[in-house]
Amino acid sequence: MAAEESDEQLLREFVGGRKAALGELARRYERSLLGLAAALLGGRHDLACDAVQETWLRVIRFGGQFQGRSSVRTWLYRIGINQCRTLLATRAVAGEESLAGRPAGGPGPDQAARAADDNHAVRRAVEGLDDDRRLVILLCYHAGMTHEQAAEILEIPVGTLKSRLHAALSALRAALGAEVRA
Amino acid sequence: MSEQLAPEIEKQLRELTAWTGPAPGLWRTALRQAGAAGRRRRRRLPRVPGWAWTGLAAAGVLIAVGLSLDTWPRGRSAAKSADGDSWFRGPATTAVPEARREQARAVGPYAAAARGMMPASERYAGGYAANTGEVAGRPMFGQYAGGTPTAGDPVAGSEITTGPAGERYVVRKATVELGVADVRAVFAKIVHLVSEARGEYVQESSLTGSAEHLEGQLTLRIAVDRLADVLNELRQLGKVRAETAGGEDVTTQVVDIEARLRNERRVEVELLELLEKRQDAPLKEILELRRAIGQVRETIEQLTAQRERLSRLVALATVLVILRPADAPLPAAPGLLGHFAHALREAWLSGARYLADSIALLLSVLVGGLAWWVLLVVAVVVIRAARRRSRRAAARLPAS
Repeated sequence: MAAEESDEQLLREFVGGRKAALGELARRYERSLLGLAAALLGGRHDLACDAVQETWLRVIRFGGQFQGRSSVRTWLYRIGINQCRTLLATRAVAGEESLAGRPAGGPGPDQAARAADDNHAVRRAVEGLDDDRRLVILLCYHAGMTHEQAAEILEIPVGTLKSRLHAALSALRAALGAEVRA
Repeated sequence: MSEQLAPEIEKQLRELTAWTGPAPGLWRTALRQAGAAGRRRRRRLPRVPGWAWTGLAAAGVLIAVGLSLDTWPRGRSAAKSADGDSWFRGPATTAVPEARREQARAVGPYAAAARGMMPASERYAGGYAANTGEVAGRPMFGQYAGGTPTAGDPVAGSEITTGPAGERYVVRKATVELGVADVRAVFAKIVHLVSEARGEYVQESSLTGSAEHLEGQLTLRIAVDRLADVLNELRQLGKVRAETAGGEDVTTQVVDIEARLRNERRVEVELLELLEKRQDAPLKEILELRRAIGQVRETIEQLTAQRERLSRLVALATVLVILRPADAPLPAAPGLLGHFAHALREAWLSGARYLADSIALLLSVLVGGLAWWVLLVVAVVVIRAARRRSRRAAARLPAS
């Protein structure tokens, strides 16, 4: 049985004209990219699909310029995160409802009724964090992501990532506590 | 150094970034998009002639009409058979009350306080002692203790137990049947006995019968401390034919609710203090505290609602007043002539009913089968025209 090709080999093959190589890359990373994008975009799956489709478009257009300074996986995540940031900024400029940092004003009746629901509580608390902290938490707890990989994607040292993660978790804890005291 | 999270929080965070559905294959869309952009920036839709659009629209309308004709009666009958007697009463109507109940639970004093609708001091009203004031013009618990029922009042003489602070909580009811000369006038007077300023009101009222046999009924909700006065005033309005009074002692229920409420509030305060002290506690503990506080608050809201319902029942007595004419003559027994007239009237009415039913049946056949009538007329006209043509043709044929 032939050994599985590396991401870099697949990218090279795609640039060389084998379209199926892109399909193989997508099989490896599309779902995880979609999951992260959906979390960053406040659970909006439609926007997450837009972001990931734009990510593949950039891979198709600029795959030939990949220089191999980082892994393909890191490169894909960086593109995906940048697409999410662009979408968030575009929507903020267009004056649409903020996708992140939602809590503004008091909780509605249904929100209050669900206050004891832990899943909702954690989701709301994460969405209430600022963009950087949210990104750090989501990336660090993203399936299969090590601190080293997360730091590489964010282009920061591992120590900085850990201190940011610590601050983000403190903020998360405070948000959960504040919600119940309100 | 990052801290260790509880496994369940880690799981929830991982679930936030997990894509549960299948991969939608966006890379293919991106490939197509990139290919199309490479070949041509924009591709125009092929020009479709106007008649084709018109034809498509007409076909669409026909299909829609056909589908609606096909599905409408079945949908209606399905809805009807599922419900029994009315349409559109399905899961939606059962889901809405549940949603409303949930909303009502949520909009309790805590939610109201959080939105600035209610001051915090009211939210944590100190239990028993704080409940002696009036809410929305109605006295709350403890108000009855200040009332002065008269000794002669049969209601006041009933046996009641006492609460821990000496208050008695009784849900009071009374019925008075009066014979009066002018039912309508007394009816109006009784309505004026109700003091809306004190939260009293007429719960139900009715006037039935013709002029000489007019009867009235009123259900009044009267403040308990005025019950004796109101009953005295009612007695003066006519001749008392019957009078009953009673009371249901709910002191035990009230005491029980108050005790549970005090206890739950104490627990809530303790949990909040604990949460305040343990700000650096692991997330798992904070979530457990949140869960516990949520449960306590739910119990508090349920108890508060029970207490308010009881307080309304205790604060306002229910008085049923029945008014009948004082000297209404008994209806005379019908004689032979009267019996004959009655039988004749019944027979006439019965015949008229049969006639009306027959006309209704005829009309329903005429209107309901309109389409068939039209088809029949058209068929008759066509057949007659065909026969006429054949006769003329036969007349023109040369003799063989």
